[in-house]
Amino acid sequence: MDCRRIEEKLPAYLEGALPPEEGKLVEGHVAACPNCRRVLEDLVKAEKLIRGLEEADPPPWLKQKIMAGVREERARREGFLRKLFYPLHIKIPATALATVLIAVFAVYVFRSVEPETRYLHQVPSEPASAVREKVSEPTAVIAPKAAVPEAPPDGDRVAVSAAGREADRKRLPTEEKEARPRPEQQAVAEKTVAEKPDAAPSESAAVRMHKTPLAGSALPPAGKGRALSGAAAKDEMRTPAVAARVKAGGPGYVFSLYARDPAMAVNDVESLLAGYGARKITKEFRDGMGLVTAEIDAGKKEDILRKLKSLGEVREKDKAAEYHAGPVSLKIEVLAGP
Amino acid sequence: MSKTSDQHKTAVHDEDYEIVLSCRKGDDEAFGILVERHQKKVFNTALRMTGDYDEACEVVQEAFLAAFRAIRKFRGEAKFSTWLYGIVVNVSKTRLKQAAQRRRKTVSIDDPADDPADGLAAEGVSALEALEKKDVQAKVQRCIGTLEEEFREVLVLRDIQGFSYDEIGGILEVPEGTIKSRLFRAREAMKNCLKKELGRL
Repeated sequence: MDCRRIEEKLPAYLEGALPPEEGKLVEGHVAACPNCRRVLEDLVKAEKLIRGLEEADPPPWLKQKIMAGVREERARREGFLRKLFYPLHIKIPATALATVLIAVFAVYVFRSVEPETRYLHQVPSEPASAVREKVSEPTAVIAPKAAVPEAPPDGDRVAVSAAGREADRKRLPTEEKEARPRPEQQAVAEKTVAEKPDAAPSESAAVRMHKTPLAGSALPPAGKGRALSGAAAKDEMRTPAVAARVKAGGPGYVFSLYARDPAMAVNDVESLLAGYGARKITKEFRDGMGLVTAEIDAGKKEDILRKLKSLGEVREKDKAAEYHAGPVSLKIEVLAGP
Repeated sequence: MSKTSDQHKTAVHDEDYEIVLSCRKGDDEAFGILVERHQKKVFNTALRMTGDYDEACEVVQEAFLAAFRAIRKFRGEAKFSTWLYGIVVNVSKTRLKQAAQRRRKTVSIDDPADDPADGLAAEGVSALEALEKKDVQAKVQRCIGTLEEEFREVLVLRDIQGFSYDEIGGILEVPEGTIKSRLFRAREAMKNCLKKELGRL
């Protein structure tokens, strides 16, 4: 075997990868051939040099750069997903859902604020009217627009008042629960308006107050009843605000009594009311017609009515609401009857 | 070869596998652990394949990012490291081809393998010895650079990184016999090249 072929086999020989016979052959040749022995030695040294290559350290920023790339990759992947879904599949439904939620929330707020805003227009005292002016001014333009979709509760009430105002009667118990001294209520009302100058609730409050002059006379004075009722309110009720309301012929009952002798009947009515503990009794007689006003306890209304019937024919003019407790105003027209 | 693949199937123990599973679930920080574990060896493999420090950094980044993107496709038939080095070798070869194309277009001023031992510190050795050592290492690297890719990759994986024939078979997807014959020819060529470079061994 010549040296060239032996040299070709030397790397495999070094690795011990030659078949045993070939290995022995190479071994014998190398022992005898100094040239091939030197090649073998060079091969060993070369391998040593290669294995002796020192390990280099990667730069310290390398890992950070890789991880930055990883995060970028993640963001791009998510960005891709966003692109895929956002405009068509998520954005529009999300916008629609948000709109619906806002609408629902607005209605909810409107409804929850309603009991507080209802009496705003009915407060004749100075601060309340100031509030009314303040609110109605900026919302005057918005009001007609908002009135169309937002008005149902209002329309409801108008309709109900025309239909005998059954609903108001049902609403009463909850309203009674909310009975509070007047000044406090007023404060709450002002707060409501001040806190939400642009929000839908105040708009609707404005709408409500705007409508008041139109529906005012027909509207049952439910808010007033609430303000006047409630055991806790008894003493506070005799505040100037309440007095003013009673004087203005505010909430309560209006009866017409048809008596044969109105002038006599007026006195009878007066003494009758006095007998039931009525307060602030006023009496008037002019041109054959009498008018008696007073503040009575709502609970005594039925009794008073029964007694009145003994004096003549009685017609209940305003049956807006039933008051079960607390002071209410009473107005009795005394007319010449059959 | 059948023996090799059998060993692959039974070699289920992979200390990286659990971390790989975390990565697949979207835990990017788990990938950081894999980077930490393998970056030095990956970097040195890339450095010996390309012969250039900066190019090796690029290879490492590219290879790890490719692994991150494809980690869902890694099913654990082989060890994660085997799979990763396969990527590293492929990225290295791709970049070598790109570099060769660039060199063909622009006139090369210096050999990229000229200064491969940058940053190699030789502490506790005299300056002259350090210089000599650096010189020898540069020449070894230059010789590696003269090898054809198929010889270079087996030499780097076997003689420098110390992978077993079995592992190299998994990384390169080449039969063991082929790896050995390529390796022996690579060593022969290295011996001849080094003899030329150094004068004597």
